[in-house]
Amino acid sequence: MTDTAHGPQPAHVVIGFDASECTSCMICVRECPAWCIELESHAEEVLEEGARRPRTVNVLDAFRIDFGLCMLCGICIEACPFDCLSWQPGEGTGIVASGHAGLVQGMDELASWLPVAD
Amino acid sequence: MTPASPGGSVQVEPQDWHAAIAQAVAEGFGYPELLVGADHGDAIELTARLLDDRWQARTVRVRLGAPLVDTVTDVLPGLAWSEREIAEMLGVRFAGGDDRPLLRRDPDGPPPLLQSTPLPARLSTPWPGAAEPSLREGEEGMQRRSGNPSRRRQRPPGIPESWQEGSS
Repeated sequence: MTDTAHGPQPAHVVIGFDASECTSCMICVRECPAWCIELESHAEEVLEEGARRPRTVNVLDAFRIDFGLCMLCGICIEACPFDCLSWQPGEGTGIVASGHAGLVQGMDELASWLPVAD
Repeated sequence: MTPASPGGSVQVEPQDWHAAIAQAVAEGFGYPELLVGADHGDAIELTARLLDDRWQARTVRVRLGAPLVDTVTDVLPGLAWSEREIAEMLGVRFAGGDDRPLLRRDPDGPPPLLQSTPLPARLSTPWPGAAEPSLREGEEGMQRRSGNPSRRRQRPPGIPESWQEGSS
């Protein structure tokens, strides 16, 4: 991993998000000391075959991390009960943007950091 | 003796702070590595780490009820900046010390690092953790049909209740 022949290893990492396991529990949002995570969700009722009554599930609508506020402390990664959040290599420079708006990453951008499954 | 402080670690009463520092210097711990303060809510704790010429550290601590203690700059002039920083950020007065403002543009306001001093950015920013899934998309403010309506509302971690006068 370290290219010792050409100077210091780039240090930037990023945080990736796998929305497929997210239950909108809000634990990462609440635990973040920088208040940099926003999550929008709504509740839906799901009636499964054979069930006597519907159950309520949360549906994730939006998930954003503002990397202008994020300290990369990793508390969200540790706190998530479903391992949705993870450290990912930042391709050397990490997140680069020309304005603050570019530092706020939504679900698609956060998913793009995840390794592609073979 | 602890591995992190092979020269010993001692906690003293406020009236003995100067004597404990002077004693450490007399025993050879004459290089002031650091002097820091922290507001623990019930007291402000000062921690000094003094090194000897073998780089072994003695740690001296004091818990201040009232924010007043003697300066130690008569025996350790190198701690003058640290005392001024603690005075400015935590409101501790060092009797006999240098009380000139150091870094703050508003030296008369509440000391910034006291737990009781609110952080304006925290008060003015809505906490993202206050959101709960709404019952249906686009329906704001409806009573949740599912879940417990009287569930205790979560509070942001690390924010003292005293910062928020009433609503959040």
